[in-house]
Amino acid sequence: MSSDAMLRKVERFLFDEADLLDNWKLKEWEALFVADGHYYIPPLNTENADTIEQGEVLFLAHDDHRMITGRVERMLKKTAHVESPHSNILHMITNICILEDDGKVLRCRSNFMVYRARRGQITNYMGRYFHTLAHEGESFRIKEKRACLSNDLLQPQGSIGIIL
Amino acid sequence: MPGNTERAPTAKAQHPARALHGALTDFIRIDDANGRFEINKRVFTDPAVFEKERALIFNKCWLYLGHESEIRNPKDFLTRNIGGRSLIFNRDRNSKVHAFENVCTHRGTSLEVRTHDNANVFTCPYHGWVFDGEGVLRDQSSPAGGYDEGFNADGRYNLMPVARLENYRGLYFVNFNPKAVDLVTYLGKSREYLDLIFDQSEDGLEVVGGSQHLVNGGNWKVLTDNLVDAYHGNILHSTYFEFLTSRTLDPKTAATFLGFGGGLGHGHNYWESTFAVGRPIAHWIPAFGEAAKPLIEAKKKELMARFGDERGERIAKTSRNMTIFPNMMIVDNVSISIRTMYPESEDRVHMNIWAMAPKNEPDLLRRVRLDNHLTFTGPAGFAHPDDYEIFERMREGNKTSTLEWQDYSKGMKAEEIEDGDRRKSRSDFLNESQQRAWWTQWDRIIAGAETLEQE
Repeated sequence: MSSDAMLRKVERFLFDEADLLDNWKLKEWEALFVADGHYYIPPLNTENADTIEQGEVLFLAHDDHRMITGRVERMLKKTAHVESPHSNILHMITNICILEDDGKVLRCRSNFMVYRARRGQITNYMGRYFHTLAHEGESFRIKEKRACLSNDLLQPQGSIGIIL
Repeated sequence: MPGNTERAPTAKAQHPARALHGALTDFIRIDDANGRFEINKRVFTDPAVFEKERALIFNKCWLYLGHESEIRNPKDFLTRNIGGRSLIFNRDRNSKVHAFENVCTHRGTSLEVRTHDNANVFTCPYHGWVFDGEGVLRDQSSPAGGYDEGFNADGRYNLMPVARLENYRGLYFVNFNPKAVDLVTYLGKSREYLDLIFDQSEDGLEVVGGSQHLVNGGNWKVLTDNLVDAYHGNILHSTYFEFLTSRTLDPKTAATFLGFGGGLGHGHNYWESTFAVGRPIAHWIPAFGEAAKPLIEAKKKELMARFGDERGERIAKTSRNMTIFPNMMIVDNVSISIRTMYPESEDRVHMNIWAMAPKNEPDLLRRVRLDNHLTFTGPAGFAHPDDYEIFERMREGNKTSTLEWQDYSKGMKAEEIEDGDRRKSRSDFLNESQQRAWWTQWDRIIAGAETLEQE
């Protein structure tokens, strides 16, 4: 496959993932992960946010598969009050770039802007994604999704109640 | 709610025989005979009340600045907004700890914009005034001269130190009132609870990097209230406790709430409970993984050897949340964390959350500890975002509604009160004794009855 075709394939995957999140199809989103998949949000204002490990610093989210499942189950409940009823969400993804690809595992970087509209307020989350993807047939599954925020302060909403 | 009446203290026949103080301000209504304690909503919405708090609380109380581990090495510094002032918290080249106002003494320019670093000097970019770590003005970058030799002979152009800076077990507090009582006196009985936390490691505790810093549109007192409010725990956070039962050994234990809450004098408050969230210090749950089990059991043995069974067991197994009045909280349950809530206005507050951990903690335990922290805590935890949502909704509700008084009466007739002082109360932790203790101090300070000064 040419590098352009691979880039389109990665782009398709990231756009499809974003679509699931925007439509609150969280069980389907969870199914994109491999069995030992991870979802991370490193702390704000951190150098090397793409490689830093929980332990050196405290993350905002550091989900193993059990936490991903717990997060999805929680967020689909009406008693997850911060997102009940569900906010309107839009994930915009650009500047996609393949960093490594050994034919089994592919690592890519992209820029994101996530908009959340709730009760007349719009909250922006901006940053960079680092996806580590396992090639699987015509598509991928997620080994690690790392959302590195560029916001330097969480305001006005203060929380990250949605999945970035 | 599971029954815990056998553990709850019995109501003593002290109402209304024991003369308790009524409220001193118009913001609080107390009716001991009928067990009613109510707060007027203006304390959350009125800018004039916030101005009073600025003058009487934030300019007079001891305020948490930071922990010694955050400025570990000589010349380390950090900047922080404390009680409405930007401060530099630093260690000089000889390792002495200082706190200065973060402002150039020439024209009042905000001096240091970095949040933290290691630096020989602080230099103002405008005219190049240079201050060393002791705050002394070293240079005015003035090629043509223009200053007398004795220009700063009396030190008036040195950085302005805060009036008072003292620490207890590495926790540094500032006080902007030079006549304030000393920190240890101010902390009083709360030290017993601080010690239960800081005794967890012989090597001491340290702050882990990567603080969780957020801004919320609630009133700051709603946030301080929330942290010692055990009542809302498994109601608002039902999704968290449903998740927790999947992590613990015995789902029934996770939902068992037993404990006490109340006041520690001077407005400090606490709750202490046996509910089984899993404690990285010495209480293993299956979610921590088999590999962590022997490490946690060894830690427990060490605690028992150091403190004996009773205190060892208390440190290992009971969780506690506490407030140092007005706005510094320590949470010792799913992890150890320090929080501060510093308001910018009556409806805008900065909350900082720092995770703490024993120094030299094995990597595996450190990871388990921080992972456990994130299950509940912080902007993307499984519980906190719902709290933040409630704070915003309280602002919305209070802004528009005609509801004037808010109720804090839960368990008022069942509480034990020491020395006729409502700030030293105790009852079931699902009651609101802890909040009433805090509000009583707030009331006394706002009324001018507490100067918090040396006699």
